[in-house]
Order: sequence, then C-alpha cells, then structure tokens
Amino acid sequence: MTLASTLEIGTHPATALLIGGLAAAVLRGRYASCALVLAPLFGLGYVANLEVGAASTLHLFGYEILGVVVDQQAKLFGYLFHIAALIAGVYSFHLRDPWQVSMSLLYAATAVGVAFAGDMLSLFLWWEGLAITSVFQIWGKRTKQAEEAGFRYLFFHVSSGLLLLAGILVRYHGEGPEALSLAPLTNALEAGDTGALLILLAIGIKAAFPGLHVWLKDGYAEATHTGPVWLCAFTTKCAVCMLARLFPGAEVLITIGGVMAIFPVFYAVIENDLRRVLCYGKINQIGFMVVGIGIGTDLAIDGAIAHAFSHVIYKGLLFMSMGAVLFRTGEIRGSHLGGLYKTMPWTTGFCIVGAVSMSFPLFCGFVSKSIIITEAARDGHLLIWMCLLFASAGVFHYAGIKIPFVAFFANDSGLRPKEAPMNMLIAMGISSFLCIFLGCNPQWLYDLLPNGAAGYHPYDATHVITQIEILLFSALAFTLLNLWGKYPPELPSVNLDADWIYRKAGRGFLSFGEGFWNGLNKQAHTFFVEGITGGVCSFLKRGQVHVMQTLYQPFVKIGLIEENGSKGRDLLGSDLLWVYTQLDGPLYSACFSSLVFYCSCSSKHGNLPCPLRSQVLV
Amino acid sequence: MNAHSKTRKPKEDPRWLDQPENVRKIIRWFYGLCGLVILVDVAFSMGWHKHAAFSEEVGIHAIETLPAFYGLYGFLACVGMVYISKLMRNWKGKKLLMREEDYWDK
Repeated sequence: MTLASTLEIGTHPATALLIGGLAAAVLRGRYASCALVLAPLFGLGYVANLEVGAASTLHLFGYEILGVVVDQQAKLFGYLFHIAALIAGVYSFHLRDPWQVSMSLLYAATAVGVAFAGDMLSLFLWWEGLAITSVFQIWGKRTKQAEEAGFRYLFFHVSSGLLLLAGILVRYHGEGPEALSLAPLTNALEAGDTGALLILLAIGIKAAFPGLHVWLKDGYAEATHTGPVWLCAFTTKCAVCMLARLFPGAEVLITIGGVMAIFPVFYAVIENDLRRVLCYGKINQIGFMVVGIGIGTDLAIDGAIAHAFSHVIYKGLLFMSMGAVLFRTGEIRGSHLGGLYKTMPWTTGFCIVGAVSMSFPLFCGFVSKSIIITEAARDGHLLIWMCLLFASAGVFHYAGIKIPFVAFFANDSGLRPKEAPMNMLIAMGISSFLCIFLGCNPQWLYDLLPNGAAGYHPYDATHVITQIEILLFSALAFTLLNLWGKYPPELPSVNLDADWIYRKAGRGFLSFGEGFWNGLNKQAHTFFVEGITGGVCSFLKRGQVHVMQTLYQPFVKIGLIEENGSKGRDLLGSDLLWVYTQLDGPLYSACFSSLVFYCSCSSKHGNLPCPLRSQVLV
Repeated sequence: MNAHSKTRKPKEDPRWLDQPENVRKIIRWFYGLCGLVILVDVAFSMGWHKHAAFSEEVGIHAIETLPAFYGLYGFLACVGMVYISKLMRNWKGKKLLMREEDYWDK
C-alpha cells in the first residue's frame, strides 16, 4: 500500500470549508457562527488564485486518484459554491445548533469537491459526502415529519451514489482505467452503454429529473428555516455541473429538460406551502439548464452554467425571504399568510427583487436564461422553444407574483411579526445586490464561463421588449383572473405527486403483502399444521382408544367382560388414554392390533384366552 | 382572519395599500404599462428590424414576428396554466390530486 500525493496546487480547494466545518463542530455560540462566514471567505480567496490547468493526484492502494483538476467550469462552480456558502452562512449566523452549522459547511465543502473532482473515483467520494452532509439541514428541525422526510431524502441520494458506483464499475469492467476519466459520455450513452445510463440516472436523481424529483419538494419543505438556502445552492447545481461535464449534447436531455420545465408549473399554481412552490420553480429552472446542456453547443452550455450561477443567487434569495417568514411567524402555508409587508418591509422588498430577478431585464436571471431560450430557437427546437417560453411566463406567474403577493400582500392574515433578524437582512441584501449587479454587468458573469458566452448580447432591443411583454402579460393574467375570482384560492391541502407511489401505493402494497401472505400463512397453518397433522396426531392418540372401545363393547355385551356401568367404561377409557400418552402410541397400537387379531383367531375355536382381559386392563 | 388580528387591528393606522381606491390606481397604472409595451412593440416592429428567434424557413417565423405575439402567448399560456391546474385539483367535482393536509400521515 502506498499513500502519496502530488500537490501541484498546495491544498484541495475545499480545505477552507472542511476546516471551517470541523471548527464549527468544536466551537460553540458565536465562535461557531464566525466559522460560517470566515471559511467561505478564505476559500473564495483560495479559488480565485487557482490556475486553470493545475491538477493534484493522490496515490492510494496502487490507484492514482485525480483529486483535483482546475478548469474554467470547476473554477466558476468553485466561486459559486463559496459565494452561496458565504451568503447562507451570514443568513444562518443566528443558528446555535452545532450539527446544522458544522454540517452545512461540510456540505458546501463536498459540493466544491464535486466541482473540482478530476476523475470518477474522487467524484464518487464527494458525491456520497454530498448526500450525507445535506440531510442534517432537514433533520435539524427535530420533528417526526422532518425525521421521516430526511430518511426519504437519504433514500434517494444514497440510491444516486450507488447508481453512480454501479455505473463506474460497469464501465471500468468494460473499458479498464480509461473509464475513470471525466471525459464526456454522450457517445457512450447514445450507443446504449449501460454504465453511462446508470451514471446519467445517478446524476438525474440529484438533478430532479421528472419522476425522480419528489425528494426535492418533500425534503426542502420539511427542512429548517435556513435549510433550503443551503440545499438549493449545492445538490442540484452539482448535478448540473456533472451533466455539463459528462453529457453535453445528449439529445435525450432536451426532452427531459422540456418536461422538467413544464410539469412543475401546474403543481406550483395549486400548491399551498410557499417553499414547495419555490421547489417546483426550482425544478422548472433546472429544466432550462438541462435543455441547454442537451442542445450542447458551446453557447448553450455556457447558458446552462450561467443560469446555474444566477439561479443559485436569486432562488437562494427567495428561499431566504420565505425562511425569514417561517422564522418569524412559524407559518409558511399561503392560506395562513398575507399582509406581512406592514411589519416586514425589508423582507418584502428583497423577496420582490428575487422574484423579478427570474427573468426581468436588468436582473441576473434575464442575462442567463435568455441564452438557453435563444439557443433552443437557433438550434431549431420549435416545440422546446415554445415550452421554455411557456415555462418562463409560468414561473414568473407563480413564483414571481404569487409568492410575494400571497405572503406579503393579499388578504391580511392579522399576523404582525417583527422584521427579520439583521443577519438575515444582510444576507438577503448581498443576494439582492448580486442579482442586480450581474443583471446590469453580465460581462462579469460571462467572463467566468468556459467559452465566455462568445457572441451573445442579452440587451438587444427586440429581446428586451419581447421579454418585458411576455412577463407583463403573465402578470396581467394573474391580475385579471384574481379580479374575476377565477384564480384557484390557497387551500390548506397537499397534492399528490410521484411520491404517492412509495408513500401510499408502497405502503398499500406493504399492507396488502402483509395481509395476503401472512393471512395465507395463517390459513395454511390452521389447515395443514393444526388441521390435518393435528387430526392425524389426535387420531393416532385418541382414535385407537375409540376403536378399542368400539371393539370392547361387544365383549361387554356378550358378557365376556364384566360391565361396571358407564362409570367403569369412562374409567377404562381414561386409563387407556393415559397409557397411550405415556407409552409409544404406534408401538402400542401395533401390539394392540396383533392382540385383536390373535383374539379373533382364537374366538373361532370358542375360547378366549385369559390374558386378553388382563392385557386390556393394564 | 383570526380573533388575534381583530384585537390588534384597530390600533394600526390604515396603510396606503389598505384603501381599495389606491389598489385600483395601481391596477390602472399596470394596465397602462401593458398597453405601453404593446405600443412600443408595434412601433418597433414597424419602424425597425425586429430580430426573429427563428429563421424564415421555420413556420413560426411569420407569427413570431407579429407585434404582441409574445404578450398574447404569455397571457394565454398563464390562463391555460391556471385552468389546467384547477382541473388537476378538481375534475368535474371529483378530487384529482388535492388531498387534505394530514393525508400522508393517515
């Protein structure tokens, strides 16, 4: 065994966050919270100094693990994850739960590890870390629902890790060490390679592909008030990062992304839990990124990565504002909120910034999402283009208008909570600033992209006008439907989704299985074990007594044996039974049968041997 | 509205947004803004060259370059979305996807 490493780049980019996480586990109170802010700052400075092209290898058990490879994409995600951790760290500064605080930093560290992973083995290790560290954002709530939701969340993410491992092993078996590189697998996937398909599924779970998405709306909605701010930044973005690395231009992703962009909008309109509405919005936005990666042109992939960047910022901002509402009111159901703008004006303002950042010009979503929509059209995907346009209008409709309207305006709920704590306001302020800054200076973002978004200009007059038009008319639809009373009201309810399969049908299947198989088992036991076998046993035990009694009767009648009345007969019977139970029944039956045979033979000669009576009465 | 709010409410000064006429004012401004954007779109389509997302060979090119296409599409998409969502809740009076809050715990 050799354990050696070549550290061309000093230490791993995730080191600052890892040390911060360990420090936060040991420290208490404000000192632990300071780690939440300092660790991402140090890490950010370190990532900024990394040179593109540097690599670091680790020799372990005779394998060479490419622990870190720095390229432009890894660096961008490195920046993104550190900025997200910094903002979420400021937002969580008031937390005094060592588990949540330390695990959140370790979670961010594993995400950085995924972004910089140089081969499949290091990717797998960080990928598993991502699953385990993130679940504490859900369990941190310490309720039974949160505990159960955490286990359901883990089920998905551990499955994702196992699928990834299976994919790696299948490919390693077929192709040898070559299969461990992070080179694109698009050709292998389209040639029907099982390993590539398993890896796509593994990433698909984390990217919330349709049908595999339920962990997202289930887990995030049960998490702590700070949880979704962390969760929304890392897991799905790691998946987008790996999709862009491994499956650029995979045609199937265009369809998957189109479905992801469309179906959540319908759910979001009737969802009552406002954080769950944001979750559906999140799936919809990841759909845009998946489409971009599926189109596979340099510009489309740039668009997907840029959108991942701005999405973390503005979706984080929306989750922060909803987290503040939950923290202050203890309530996140749309049917129980309203009128909060009166006492939470800053939170209201930041929420509105987050909402318009989705696609309005001068905000960050506009400069990234539009690249994907434009590339879908330029590549000739008419149906997908219409889907994306629809999704774009839809997401603004429910996440951009419905969320601020229902939470902060609408019908006065009578709740008069205090304004969010200062650390939350600062975090939301930083996010809002970034939303507007990136929207007004898209070149800052474009310069970080792998291909620099070459040749794309978001602020083209046609584009600005058409985009404003589609958004305003989406808002107009909301206004008119509300005024006409046609808008579905916020009702205390839950909606069935794919989780019905395992939360209800699965449970039903289990209880059916339990009822049917255990019932069958019980019936079989009653029939065979207790019925037939028991009958045979009892026949062997008691039957002989009755047979003998029957045979004995004629002897009594003809006076060969003295009759002692019914009492005597019973006595005889019970005596015999006792003998049978004490002695070996079958052996005794054999003796008895031979005796009967002997007696019947003898009786033909007119005399009955004396021993019979004494034998019977033993 | 719960009892708690009824006891607290009279103490507050009514806000600007609490008055229905102010809400109506905002909505009127909003309609005006929508009209203005359509006007700008029409003027822009007639006076300048509008970039189309699709080339002329694609069937949608002619429709897409029409003024107000995006506005109409956005409006109809959202109305359609809301109606389909309502159907997902209730299909002819039958509950389709909506369940009571404690459904999962039962």
